[in-house]
Amino acid sequence: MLVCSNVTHHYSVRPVLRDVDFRIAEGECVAVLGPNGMGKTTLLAILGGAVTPTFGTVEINGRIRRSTVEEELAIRKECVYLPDDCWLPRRLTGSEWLLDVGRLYEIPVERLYRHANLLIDVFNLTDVAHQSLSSCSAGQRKKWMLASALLTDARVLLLDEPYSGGLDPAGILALQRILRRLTSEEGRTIIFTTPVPELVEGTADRLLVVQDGRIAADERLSDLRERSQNGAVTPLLQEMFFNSTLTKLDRYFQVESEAAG
Amino acid sequence: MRRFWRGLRDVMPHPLILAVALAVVVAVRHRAWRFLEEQAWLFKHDPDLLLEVFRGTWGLLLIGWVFLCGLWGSCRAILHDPARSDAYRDWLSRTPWRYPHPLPQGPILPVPQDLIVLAMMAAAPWGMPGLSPWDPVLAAIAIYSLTLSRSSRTLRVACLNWLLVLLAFRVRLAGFPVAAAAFVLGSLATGCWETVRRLQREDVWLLDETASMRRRLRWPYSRLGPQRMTFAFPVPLLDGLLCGLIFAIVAAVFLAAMLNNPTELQGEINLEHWRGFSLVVAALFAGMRILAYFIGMRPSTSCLGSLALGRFVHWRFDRVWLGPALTLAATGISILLLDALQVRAEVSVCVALGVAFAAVLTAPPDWEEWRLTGDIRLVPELPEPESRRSAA
Repeated sequence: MLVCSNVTHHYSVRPVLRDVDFRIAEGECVAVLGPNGMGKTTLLAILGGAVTPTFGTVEINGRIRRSTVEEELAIRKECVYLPDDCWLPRRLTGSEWLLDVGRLYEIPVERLYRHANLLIDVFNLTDVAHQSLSSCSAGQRKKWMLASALLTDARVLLLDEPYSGGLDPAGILALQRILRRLTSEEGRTIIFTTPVPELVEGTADRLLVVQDGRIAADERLSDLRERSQNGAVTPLLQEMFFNSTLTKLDRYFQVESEAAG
Repeated sequence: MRRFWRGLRDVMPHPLILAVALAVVVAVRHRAWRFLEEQAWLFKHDPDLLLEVFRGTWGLLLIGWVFLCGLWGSCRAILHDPARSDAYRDWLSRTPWRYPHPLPQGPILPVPQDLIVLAMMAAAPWGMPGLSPWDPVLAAIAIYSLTLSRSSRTLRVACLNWLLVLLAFRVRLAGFPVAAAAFVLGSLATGCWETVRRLQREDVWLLDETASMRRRLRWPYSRLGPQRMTFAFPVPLLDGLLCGLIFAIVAAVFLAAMLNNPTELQGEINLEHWRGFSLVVAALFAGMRILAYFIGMRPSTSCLGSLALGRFVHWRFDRVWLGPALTLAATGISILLLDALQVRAEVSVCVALGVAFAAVLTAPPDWEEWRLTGDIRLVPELPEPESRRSAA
């Protein structure tokens, strides 16, 4: 259970989040959606403990973030926050990095090696597993970051823009399926941000829309499916988010066809 | 076995640097032996002179090697230290990492693999007559422990480390390598002990947002927010006295080296004038202290304003001058006192310099207290560019 209570955050005097309040039950996969600069990353950084909110608290599995050293350390063990541009050691190889992260989270050795090999295989990283991370491409580095977060076996995963950063279609597919399985079969809680509504449908079962630092909408995907005419959520989301862009596009096409005709 | 190799890679220099260093060492050793063989017949009646010539020519290369080994020591302490990389520290602070769990990037503290690197350092001048193979090893360990203690928050430990390394340097110059090794190992133990304490301290790993907050806030909020100087005046009295002692020892080492150096300059050194020199150094210290206090702070009333108001003393601001004044006074008094006691000029100079350094570090007022309660005006660190101001 993750509870975000009255979280407000300012950068200098500019408010980025205002009175953000929500609860996420165990086993839920929540997508935080919204245009750029609306506070998605800040919200995730606050949930991940990387930023302390100006006001408000974050509670994860009954423990309040940054209340005591013991509670904070316990939270860090069961909650992994992966920022969009995560640090990676340039001298190590990818496989060494995965094993180091696994040891850090005290994963049993047998499980660690098996899981690391599977993740390397799933993300098509076998060829670069023994190359230094500095020689990997941006997309491959993103895959190593994602693999390291998945390897921790944390109960709560906070992923900032997991689908961006050069991830190829195969990587996107793999991640979508893995996240889906982690929530439905293992009951893990996942929160991820994305500005792209198309990526939500295959992964999340709940949407939080951040607009101007507030939660503008909190919807279940099943409810949205019921509301849509053909059961597809993506067109409905496009209409919700990009209404003005769609109107502008209509006008553009109309003017262009009039000029041509 | 795989872990051992991984550990070795963590402590070794970059393979390319290692290959170049090895090639240079092999070439230099080969050339040095050739030199000895070629010159042997010339000095066959005086082998000691040959040794002297050899040391004079090839000893310079040994100094270069010692410097490189010291560089390795410094890199070894910095490369894997989370305190030296914001990104690594931020990442680590989000994980459940605690000491003594191994650091993912590599170890900061010495590991058995370091012995292999040290053995390679000693092997370079090994067997060359008149050159000590232990000097590069001692230099590497000394610089490593000094760099470790630089990350320490306790000035006392850093002072102790410097003291031990300087003593090691002095006794090595005096021809006591075993004593020098003992001092260097003492310094290593101090550095490691302090590093373990630093890694154990919990608040390092719970994000300290002070620095990032200051970056975010910018002028003028950055000046109003909490600040932490890496080095804040005044330091505790004991730390200041230790620093003064170290500075006096450094001055003594340099003065002794200068006086023992048989050059034509020696006759021109008049130690009586050096007493005045220590007062000049004290004035420099005082000036640096004023600069440190004045970064971003100015008096709330300008000189003209003070004249117009008839208020010539603003105690809540002017107490900033107390530290520099005390520094100059303490140095002057110590010079006069030692002169009256007829202490030798070189000792008097070193003591006066030590007193000046200790005084500038320990004199009031407290920087934080003065910043928060003084009669001051906050100014930006850098003035806004003229073009931007005119555009606004």
